[in-house]
Amino acid sequence: MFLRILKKDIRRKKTMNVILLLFVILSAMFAASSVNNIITVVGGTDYFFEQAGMADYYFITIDGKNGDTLSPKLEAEPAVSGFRREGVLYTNAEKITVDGKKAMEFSNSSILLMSVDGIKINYFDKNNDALTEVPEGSFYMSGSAPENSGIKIGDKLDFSLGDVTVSLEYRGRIKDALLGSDFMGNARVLLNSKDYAKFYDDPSTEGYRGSVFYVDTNDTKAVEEAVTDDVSIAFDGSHSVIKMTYVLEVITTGMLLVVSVALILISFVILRFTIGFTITEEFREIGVMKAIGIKNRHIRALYLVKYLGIAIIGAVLGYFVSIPFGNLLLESASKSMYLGNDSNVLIGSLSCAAIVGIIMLFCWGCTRKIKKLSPIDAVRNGQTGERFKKRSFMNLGKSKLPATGFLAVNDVVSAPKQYSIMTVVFTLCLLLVMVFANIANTLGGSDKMLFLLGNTKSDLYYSSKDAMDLLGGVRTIEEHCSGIEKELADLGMPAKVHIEGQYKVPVEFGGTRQNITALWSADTKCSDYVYERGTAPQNENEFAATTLICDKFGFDIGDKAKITVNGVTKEYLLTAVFQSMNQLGQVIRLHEDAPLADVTPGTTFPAQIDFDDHPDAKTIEERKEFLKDHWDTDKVQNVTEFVKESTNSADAIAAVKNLVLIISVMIIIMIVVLMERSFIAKEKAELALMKALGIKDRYIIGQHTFRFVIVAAVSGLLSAALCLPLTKLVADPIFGMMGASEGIGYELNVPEIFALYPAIILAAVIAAARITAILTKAVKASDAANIE
Amino acid sequence: MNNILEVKDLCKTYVVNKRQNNVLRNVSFSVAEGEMVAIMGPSGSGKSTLLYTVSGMDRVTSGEVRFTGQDLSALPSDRLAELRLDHMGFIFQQMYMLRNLSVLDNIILPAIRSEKDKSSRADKRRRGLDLMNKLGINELADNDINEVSGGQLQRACIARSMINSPEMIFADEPTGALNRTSSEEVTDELCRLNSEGTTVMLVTHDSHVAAKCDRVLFIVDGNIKEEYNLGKYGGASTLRERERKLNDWLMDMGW
Repeated sequence: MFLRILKKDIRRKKTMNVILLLFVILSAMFAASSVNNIITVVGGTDYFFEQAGMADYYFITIDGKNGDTLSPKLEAEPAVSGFRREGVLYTNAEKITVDGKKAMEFSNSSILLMSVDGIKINYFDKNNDALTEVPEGSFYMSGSAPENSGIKIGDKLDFSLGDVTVSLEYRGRIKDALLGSDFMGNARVLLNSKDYAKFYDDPSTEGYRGSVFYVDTNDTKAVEEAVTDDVSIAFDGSHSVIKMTYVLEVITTGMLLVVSVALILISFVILRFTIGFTITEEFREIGVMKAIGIKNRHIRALYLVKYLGIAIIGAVLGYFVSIPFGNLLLESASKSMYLGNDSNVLIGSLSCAAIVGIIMLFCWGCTRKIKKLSPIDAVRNGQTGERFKKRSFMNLGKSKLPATGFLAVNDVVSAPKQYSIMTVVFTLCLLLVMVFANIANTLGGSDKMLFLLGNTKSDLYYSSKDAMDLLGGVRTIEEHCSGIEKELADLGMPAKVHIEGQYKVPVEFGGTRQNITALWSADTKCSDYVYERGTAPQNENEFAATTLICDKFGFDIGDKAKITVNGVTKEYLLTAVFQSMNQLGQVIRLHEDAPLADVTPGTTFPAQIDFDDHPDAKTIEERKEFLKDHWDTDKVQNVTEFVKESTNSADAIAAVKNLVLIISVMIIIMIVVLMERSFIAKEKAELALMKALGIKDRYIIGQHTFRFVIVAAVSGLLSAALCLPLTKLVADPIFGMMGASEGIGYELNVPEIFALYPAIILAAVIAAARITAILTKAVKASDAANIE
Repeated sequence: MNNILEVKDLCKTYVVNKRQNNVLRNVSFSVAEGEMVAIMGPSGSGKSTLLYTVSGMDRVTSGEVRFTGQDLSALPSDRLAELRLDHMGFIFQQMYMLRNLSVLDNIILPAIRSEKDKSSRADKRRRGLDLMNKLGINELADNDINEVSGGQLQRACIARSMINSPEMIFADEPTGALNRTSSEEVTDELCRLNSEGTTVMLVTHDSHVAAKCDRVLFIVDGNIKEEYNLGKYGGASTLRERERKLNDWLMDMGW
């Protein structure tokens, strides 16, 4: 008998059951793929590092003509149990060309050329095979730049350095554990030793020499202190810092985990509503079953079996769909990482089983209502005669609303629980989209982000082809900027040009001594930057530090630290605390009068151009295009383009946002269809009555549609109110990992957030509700006679 | 007196699971303006189907139904809806009302929805209250429909059916769910409306109710077997006498 009842139920509520099944499939798919991915990516970093043979601490140095100065210091340090050194040559994307034109867009500052014979860790090809040789006349490269620029395997590129130009064939992407993440500022090119020698042996490339060190140690602090005076260090970081550079890969999968959690929650809400609705609808059947003596638990089992069936079918289908879906999501991560995927089947199955378990627990709770229904319900049409609660406080006779609007509003306020569930789901969907949009907009060109990157606002940002000369000590920043200024003046657009540099300076406080990156420019004032607290450094012997540096050294505003600048050690007063995403927040800022003008920077930012005539935005754009042609480069950018390229993740997050938007619209459409169909079934008597009274179909369809419009509008308002607090809650920890430990101000694109997305959701709601409400036409006026 | 409703060769067939069910077979009759007609017959004989078909709630399979001269089968559904809203009133056995509206709001809803009625919402409200007052339920205006008794609710349904001053009221067993006292009140109210000029057509199983009507149509197997003319209620014959005569006739019909 149970089977017969079940069969009938499945056939009768086909659409609702199918939609429910779809939700379970989606939940299982997202849960299985994102849990699996996050475990693979987080655990994958350790696995990748182990396979690559990474060390405990890393240095990248710019040796130039002085040669390797770090090796003797490492050899002398007892805390260093061993180290490996790879010799490299620095170049940049401007010097890699095809037919004289730049071959690839590369946002990062430097590209490290090295010989495959000099490698000290394992590099892997796309099949995860360790690379041991590179044929003469060819190269492998880490990072996504070749692929993004349309370079295919077999393409010939010209590499120029100093006076040497060598034509090399691209053979593919390598997985580089140290420099392979999108967050790292450099890429690596592996060459045959003969090709490398052509560059290395030429005296004109002497200034571009450098090293990468892999240091084995148990005491990273001792290593940091031992090398504080070495000015050749452009980058240093521990194992955990390098691991952190894979944060973007983790964030993307983490965000999908958030989406899947939201989807699971939505599924539960839908399930809760459907079960509740089914049970209320079937008061007669349940009452009759009770009247003939069937026990509560047996009746309950009837529903539980049905939902167990849906949950199992959905979870199994969801698991199978999660395999290609998960691989698709992992594709970008697996291009840069050597990922082990042994846990795939087990984790996927466990996630799906968890979904089934949670759904069944939830069903168990929802079916408690069966106990409350009695045989009397079957006899008295579900009316126990004890319900005297007033449903609505609205009054049609006194209302100014048009009848359709009144009836819709009245329906919503009369059943607040039912509509509030929908409001919660719609709000959740909208909030997900809004949060991703806020993050993408902030990363994609916000002024707020500019200060976190360590820059001031300028008219244009220009990465010149000769910027590498600054790192090699060939020219000073001042000489370089003067050259650009002169050229601009000759072109009739006089401007001030300055460059922010990053310098390694030893800092000592309370017994801790470490090499820290100092941000400095002679041509900007410290007061031009944004600080969390304190006052910008006013004098040469003052400095500002990030919260993370303050925590690291244990100093605060008013404390004095010993800092060695250009070989001179003296006390500097900490006057302000700021946030930065440079070096994952481990930086200080020195006053513009600090004696760094003659010191070779470890890294430089693009040249910042501020035109003397303060042109408007249109003129700036025109000049930007002109200068791009003039300098034959794409690296002349406005502030938005500069921030977007520097953060290098806005597009990835925008892609996730678009995916979430599509999923949200689908979810909302499914919910609207499900709810409207259930409303039609539940209100058949009222629909028939209205028709019998002579109320036209279009008014009834309008009333039903308008109810959902009200829900969407309320959701829009709630989302608008909650979107910024929720963005902070979700994104602050992510930006904290990148160095902005005290949270950031988010870019709120008002038309996009408060108009576009609510309008998209509203349009989907109206379309779904209106089309589904057409089914009300199937209810005839004469049905009033047949309804029990 | 003009006929308000003319029915000729009306057939209504339902197809359920590929099986034809001829519920009404060539039914012909007419109702004059101001008349009060009862339809009686055994269960399943097609009484309610006849009522819903002649009132335009359901489409005819064949034949002709003319209401105030208009052929209902030729009218589109929107026009039929307008006709029901502005020219007809309906009372059902179950006291159907919209759950989320108060008693008064349920009564005035057809007036507010009417495109013909241009009076203000306040006027419509006043009219609704007047009707409730006439029916003795004015104190229930703001009550929820769950807060009133069955008899009161059915009187509210009568008020709703009257709000647009229809030419004709169709009632499907209006007293079927009521006790004797409530039933009496509701029937008297229908008689009062009829005496004021509204045509009434009702389906009933109760000879006591039917005895108050001018004419009774007896339907068997989808056909009007015979009709019995009682004449206007309130004339020389008492209700008891009318009921006795009607019961005798019904016995002859095999009731």
